[in-house]
Amino acid sequence: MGLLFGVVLALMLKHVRFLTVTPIIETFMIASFCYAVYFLTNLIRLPSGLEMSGIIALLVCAIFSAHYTYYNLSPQGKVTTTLAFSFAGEAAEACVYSYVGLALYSSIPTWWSVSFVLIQLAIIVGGRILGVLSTFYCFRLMCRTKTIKFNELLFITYGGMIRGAIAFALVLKIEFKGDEGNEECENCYTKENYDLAVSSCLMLVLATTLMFGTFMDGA
Amino acid sequence: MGNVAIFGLGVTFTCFVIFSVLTYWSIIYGNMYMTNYHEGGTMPIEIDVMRMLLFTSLLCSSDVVAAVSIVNYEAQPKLYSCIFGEGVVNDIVSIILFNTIESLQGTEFTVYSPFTIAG
Repeated sequence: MGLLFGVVLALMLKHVRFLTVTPIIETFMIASFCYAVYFLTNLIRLPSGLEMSGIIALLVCAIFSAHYTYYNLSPQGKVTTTLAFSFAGEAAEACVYSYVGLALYSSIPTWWSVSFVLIQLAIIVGGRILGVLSTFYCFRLMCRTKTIKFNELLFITYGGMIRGAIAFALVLKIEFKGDEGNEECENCYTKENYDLAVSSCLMLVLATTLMFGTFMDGA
Repeated sequence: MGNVAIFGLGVTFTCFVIFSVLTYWSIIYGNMYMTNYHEGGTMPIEIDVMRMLLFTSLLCSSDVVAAVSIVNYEAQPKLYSCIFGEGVVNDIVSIILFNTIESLQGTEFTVYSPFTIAG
């Protein structure tokens, strides 16, 4: 789906030349196409009950645009799209991080558990190392080409240890009993467990970002 | 390309399995308590398996932006693209994993549940 839209976008900007006169229209075309891919793909439901994921389609469309559509733009349009999308990305990132910081003070959950946070921290570090090494060497057994050196593998392990804003955004999506509209929810979290999940997730995001993020600069 | 796929997909699923098993083990045998910071008082942590899976699935996502700042692109382009692609795929996989497990919340955890999640 993402591939289809990417091909359509690239060919359209290549052959319909009057679209590539003003850089604003080019930027708008690319943005609206990528936006449309996400929602249209989310709407698709196959008869077998399988839902398609819009995020993957968006990623594929974006990769395709960067590879092919970019060269069909006017010289001004190249600069404009690069600047506009990097501006949007930076702004969204800054918003998310400031929201994480503000949420720590504005909505302090009631139930906390220090031991749970510490054990989860240890699990994240240990599990990440174990996961990366075991997966990589299992794949190494299948094809014996030497691709990545061991110290590069350690870099990759270390880079994935930070828990970012996505974990926090997902923890706010959990439904719990006593939320507006679902007091009778049978399958949801209880209030105590929801508080525990939010507080430990906040602490994990803070701890990993501060601990591992500060040590990253020199390397 | 192959490395990005291996690390993004395989490592996220492996990490999810490892995190879940370790968290389950620590909740069963850890004897942990949570504390009410407004009124005081403690109670033991009790959480059933599907809720715990939901929590561990969101812990699988990693932060790309901080990870990318380790290496610079000019010095090690291969390592840079590996880390960046792994982070992007990692995020997406963990979001999809979270949505999948959230749609399975009503069901009991049985022997078949891992296959339902994976398939």
